[in-house]
Amino acid sequence: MDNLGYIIKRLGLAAVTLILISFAVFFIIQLPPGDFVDTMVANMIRQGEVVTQEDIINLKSMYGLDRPFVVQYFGWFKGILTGNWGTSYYYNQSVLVKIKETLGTTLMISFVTLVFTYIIAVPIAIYSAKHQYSIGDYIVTFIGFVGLAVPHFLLAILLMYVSFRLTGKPLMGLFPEGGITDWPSFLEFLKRLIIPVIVISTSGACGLIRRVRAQLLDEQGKPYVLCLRAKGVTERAITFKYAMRQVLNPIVSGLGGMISGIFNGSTITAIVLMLPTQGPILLKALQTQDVYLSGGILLISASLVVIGNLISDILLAVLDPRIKLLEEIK
Amino acid sequence: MKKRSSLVAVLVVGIVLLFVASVGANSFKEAPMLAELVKKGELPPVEERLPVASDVMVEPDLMSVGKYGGSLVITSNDSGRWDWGPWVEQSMFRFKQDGSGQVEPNVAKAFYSNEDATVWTIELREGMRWSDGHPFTADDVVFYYDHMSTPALNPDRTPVPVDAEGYYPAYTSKPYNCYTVIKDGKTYWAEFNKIDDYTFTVTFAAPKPNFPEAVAVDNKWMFLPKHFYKNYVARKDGVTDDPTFPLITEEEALANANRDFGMQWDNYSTMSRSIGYYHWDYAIVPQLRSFIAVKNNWNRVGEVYELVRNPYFWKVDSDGNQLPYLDSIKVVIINDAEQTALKQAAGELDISPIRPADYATVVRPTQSTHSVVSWSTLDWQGAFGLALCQTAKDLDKRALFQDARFREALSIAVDRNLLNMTLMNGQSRPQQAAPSPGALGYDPEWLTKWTEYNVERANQLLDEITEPWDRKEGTYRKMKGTNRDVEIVISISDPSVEGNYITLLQSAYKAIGVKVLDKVDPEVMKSVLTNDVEAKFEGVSITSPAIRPDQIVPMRNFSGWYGAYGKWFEDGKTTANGGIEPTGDILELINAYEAIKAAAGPDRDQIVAENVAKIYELHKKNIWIIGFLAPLPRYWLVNNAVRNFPENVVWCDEYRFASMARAEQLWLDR
Repeated sequence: MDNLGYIIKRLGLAAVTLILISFAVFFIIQLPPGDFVDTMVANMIRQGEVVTQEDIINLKSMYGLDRPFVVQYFGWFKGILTGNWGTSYYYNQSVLVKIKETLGTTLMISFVTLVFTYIIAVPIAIYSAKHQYSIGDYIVTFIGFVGLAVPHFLLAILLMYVSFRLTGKPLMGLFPEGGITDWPSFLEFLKRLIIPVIVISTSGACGLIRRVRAQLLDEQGKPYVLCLRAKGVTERAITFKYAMRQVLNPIVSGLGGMISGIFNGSTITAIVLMLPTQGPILLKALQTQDVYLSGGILLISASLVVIGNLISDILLAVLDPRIKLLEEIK
Repeated sequence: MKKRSSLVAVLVVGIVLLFVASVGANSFKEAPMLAELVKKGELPPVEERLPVASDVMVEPDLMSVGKYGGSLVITSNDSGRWDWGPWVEQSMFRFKQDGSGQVEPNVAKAFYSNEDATVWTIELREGMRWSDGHPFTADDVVFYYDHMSTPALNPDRTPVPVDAEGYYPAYTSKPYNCYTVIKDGKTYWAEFNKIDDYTFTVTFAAPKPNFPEAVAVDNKWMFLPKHFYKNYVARKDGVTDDPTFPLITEEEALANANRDFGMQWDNYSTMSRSIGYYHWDYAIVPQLRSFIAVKNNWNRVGEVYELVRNPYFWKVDSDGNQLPYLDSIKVVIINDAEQTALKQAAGELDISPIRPADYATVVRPTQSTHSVVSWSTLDWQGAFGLALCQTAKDLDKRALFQDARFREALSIAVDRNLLNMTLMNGQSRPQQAAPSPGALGYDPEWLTKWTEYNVERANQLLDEITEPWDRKEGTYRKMKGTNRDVEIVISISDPSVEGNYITLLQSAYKAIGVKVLDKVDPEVMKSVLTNDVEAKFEGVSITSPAIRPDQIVPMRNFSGWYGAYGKWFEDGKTTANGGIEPTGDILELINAYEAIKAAAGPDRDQIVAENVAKIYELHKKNIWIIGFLAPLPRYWLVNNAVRNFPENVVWCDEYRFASMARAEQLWLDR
């Protein structure tokens, strides 16, 4: 019952956050000067079409761009709730249809990356903490800091260059031509998955290594560890059975941030590596000031962060009763 | 005896000829891929797919008889419909490959006019078919014109004014100038009449001697499949009893289109512009093109957009093989120029344009597999040209910009060699903005006019037209009779590229006391329409002002250098709507343009030539657009296995860019 109340409270907070985010998103995407019609007019003129002032005014009223901001926002928000996310001006397709086209690939890459991040980060962090100030720890720490500092897209370009020098083939795109139809094309797909996954997971993994290592080192000197050692419990059991329980906390609480990192990281990386994800579509939507499409994608990305935080909050509450207690005292 | 033997000879020859003709008629060959489909019964035999033997087009620009098969890999970006489109485009009339500026029949079999060029007759090819197998006839052309290309017209074929009752825009929303003439100051739309299935006439209220050229530039295709579009076009004339084109409402048309095209257009006019004008965006639309799409993924980065051989394509080579030779053209959709360069360097593209900056990067690693082929352009300048708006809103500046001495000073104050090294890796050479050798209007004197680097003379010129200047570092000249600096505000839309030009001009013009400022305006093209651009970087690229004048003659609201003069002409020579009435040499340009439009009769060619020369002469005299460097040719990186890719063809909009390569006759030797 207590847990349920806590979860309901969290859900309510998440909903409020989402509404605020939707307003902020709609506000920010309208910030650049001009609107979709201006972009369209510039393109029409470039193609040699004749555009008069009246045409421009007509187009603006046709797309409802002459209405006040708040009216446009509420129209949009109502649509979101009722499943009508609006029509993309640029693609002339429903925003939901356009998002669905690439959402699968986006989530697939994000999920693979997330799993990959945990698989490499946690063992490395444990090794690093258990062998503090050893050569191995220094190497891992060095790589960790570099990985945190280097932007995704730069890493993507570097890896692309290296793979080009090694194989003579530029690794771009995700799916082999003609899609995945047989075993060799699936292998080709896996090969193309390597660089994006490495690139997108690097900064998340490096951050996680730092956090887990620090937490584990903290635990190493605590009295209960000393007591366990005195009782003759093996180091292995101390680490995995006792200390790791404490370490789960930072692993779980980092989830929300990591999901957002993966989602945003994949946007820019996708553009560099030509991945068929939301990235290139979001860029196009922003460039052409396609308000509903960019709004839709940004809202989904923001929602994922909120949901990620929600999940980590709930998991934390389950894993660590102290947190719920703190909440209740407040 | 002698008479009899000659009769026999004639008979024999006649029989032989008949035999050859009948063999010829039945000896068309087709790609193995299609023969397979014919064998399975999924496709009619090649003779039934091609027009009748006498009407089949034997491609005259064929370079060598090729063999079938293979896919050509090219690249485009995710808004590249104008890029890959021309590769496969087939227009009613097309410009000849020789760069003469003359048109020849393409989809049309023949065209001719009456004596005063008021009635044009166009013959089509009997038995020609759309890519879905449906016959292509004069109905498709007349339907396209009457129901998709014309706005609301009065009974006398003058357009209904935009604000009048009963007005509606053309289905495609494009008001094509090629179908109108001006008589007594009023615009009249042509009338299309079907004579029979394969002949129609176009009748004008006044002579239209350049009709085929105008169509080739302005409308290009001039037809769309009636049997397909009748479901998406709402009849405006109210006729209900036509079974080939039943009356439907706009709502029904929109619903049909959204259903069949899988789109969510929210109104009729967006839908009609999209499928009526940009019809080649959609694989579902039957085409006459050489290659046709199977999917609509041309706007998805990272994917391969494939255009496959049109089984009903209506051209053959000199041996009777149905074209095209290639199975397909694969367009790799890439947005980033660096990614394209990487693909080029890896040798993965069969034909791709080389950016000047990437030349060495992509040519060196592909030396053994690819070659460089160059095409010429009709650009007047490399890198950029500087256009000072002749109708700048600030009257003091307008006076300066209109002064030829000011423009001369700006031209000679720039060290073009330095510019060449900085911007073009030294690949270009100093030059004024002017037609290049080989182009119409080429004049060696014009190319070198005001190009000698001479800061001293520039200062002397400016001393005559500005307040005295003591040349103190960090100060600028003042405009005559004012206390304001001589400054040029250049509107730029892309700081990453144009910012370099600004910096270079700033350092050059400091020495003559002219301040250069930049104004980042992503919508600079739109700002031109309202005369809000004082100066911008502008290029000229034209075949002839008789074919497409808008870049160098103020005949529409379009270009930065002539600003509001174009508005004045577009509005019907009135200053009521922001237009400014031209005088002097600009007015002369307009006069020359109108003389070209009105030219008719036996002296037409001469009148046109004289006035075209006059337009060039006026530009040479005034240098309204200041150029600095010579344009570079368009370099293609071409796989050595590609056959029949022509060299030295002109790359320009009027000639439809890559269309000149005649993709249907390209083949792969591998």
